[in-house]
Parts: sequence; structure tokens; C-alpha cells
Amino acid sequence: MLELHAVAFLQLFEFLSDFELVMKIIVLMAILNFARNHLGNSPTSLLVVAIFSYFVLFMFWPFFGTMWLLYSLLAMGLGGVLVDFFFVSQMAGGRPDEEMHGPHGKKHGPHVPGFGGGGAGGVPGMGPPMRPPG
Amino acid sequence: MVVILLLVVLIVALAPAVIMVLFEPAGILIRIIMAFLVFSTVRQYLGNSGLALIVSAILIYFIVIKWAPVAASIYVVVFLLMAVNFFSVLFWGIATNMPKKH
Repeated sequence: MLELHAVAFLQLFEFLSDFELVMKIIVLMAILNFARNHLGNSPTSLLVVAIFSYFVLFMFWPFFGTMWLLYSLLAMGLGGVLVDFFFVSQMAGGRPDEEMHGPHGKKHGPHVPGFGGGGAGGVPGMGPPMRPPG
Repeated sequence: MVVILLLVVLIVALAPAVIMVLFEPAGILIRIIMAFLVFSTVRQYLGNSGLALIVSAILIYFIVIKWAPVAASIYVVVFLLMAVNFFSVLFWGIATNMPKKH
């Protein structure tokens, strides 16, 4: 059992390191494309690629890698998914409850006078009518 | 509620990997599609050059051969389902079909 856990753990690390390498290759391609688009195929563009690559891929990779991953996921629509997950899903309850409304949508539960639904002097949905003190 | 949604997302995310393992033709098809996707993406960045072939080969080894089920799941969820806002429809459908809170 312990060996199985160790193997799974090592595989996870292997996947993460491979994924990091793939990310670095894609970021390097993006830098190459950016420099070529702006400067063309010139020695200056190669110099810019070298400087950018040194800073982005080697010096500040944890920061730029995280930012790039976040940017990619947000560009793919992760923000909408998170909004739906945390806000739209909280509005659960579109389906009427069978116990409260019955098969024909008519309330047949215990009726409390004054609580909505037109009790004596009550306004539907506004609670019991006000009574003078004493 | 949140647990149900997480379970549904997990099932949807794992489905491509499970299908790839269970049905070999589906696995081959997804691998071919991913290889084309990788090669066309690299060609967009680097143009028609030898470097594009080398980079494509490296990426295809990692994405299509070594970690194919994981990459297929990521590809289907991120590039196909999230691109057409499938999860919005899924969450809305599940949330509106749940019984009312008291």
C-alpha cells in the first residue's frame, strides 16, 4: 500500500515536471513570436528573445509561470465557470417543492392566517397585519 | 449542492480519459486530433521551419504519447467544453432542478 502511494506520488511529480517543461516551451515560443512580430528576423530580435527568456524562463519563472497559467485559464473562460459555480449555483431551488405545492402547483400545507396568501387584513407576501399595542 | 456540482465536474473531466482507456479507437482518434492541434499551434508560432518540427516532436511526445489521458481530459474540458460555456449550462441546469431551500 505504501509503495503504491509512493509510486502515485512520484508519478504526480513526474507529471508536474513534464507539464512545467511543456509550459516553458510554449512560453518560449510566445516570446519568439512576439519578438519576431515586432522586430522581424534580425539579430536584435534574437537579443530581445535571449533577454526575455533569461528573465521569464529562468530568473522569475515561478511568478511568470503562475501568471501565464492564470492568464490562459481566464482567457479560456475560467472566470465564467467560477462565477457560475459560486453564484448561479447558490440560486438553487428553481424547481417547486412537491411537499409545499402539490402536483397542481396549489399550496396544500398548513395555512397560517395573516401570513401571506390573503389572511384577514393581510397583504399577500407581506406578513401579518399590524395590531395596536395593548 | 457544491458537492454535487464538484462530482459532476469531476465526472465530466474524467470521462475523456476513461473513454480513451476503454475504447482504443476513441483513444487513437483523440491522439490524432491532439497531434494536429499541437503541430498547427507550433506552426502558427514558428512558421514552416525545422525548429517547428523539433518543438512539435517534443510537445507531441509529452502531450500525445506520455500523458495522453491527462492531456485529453485537459483538452476536452478547457478547449472544447469551456469554449462553448458548457459548464454554465451544466451549473444552471443542476441548480434550477434542485429542490427549494427552506
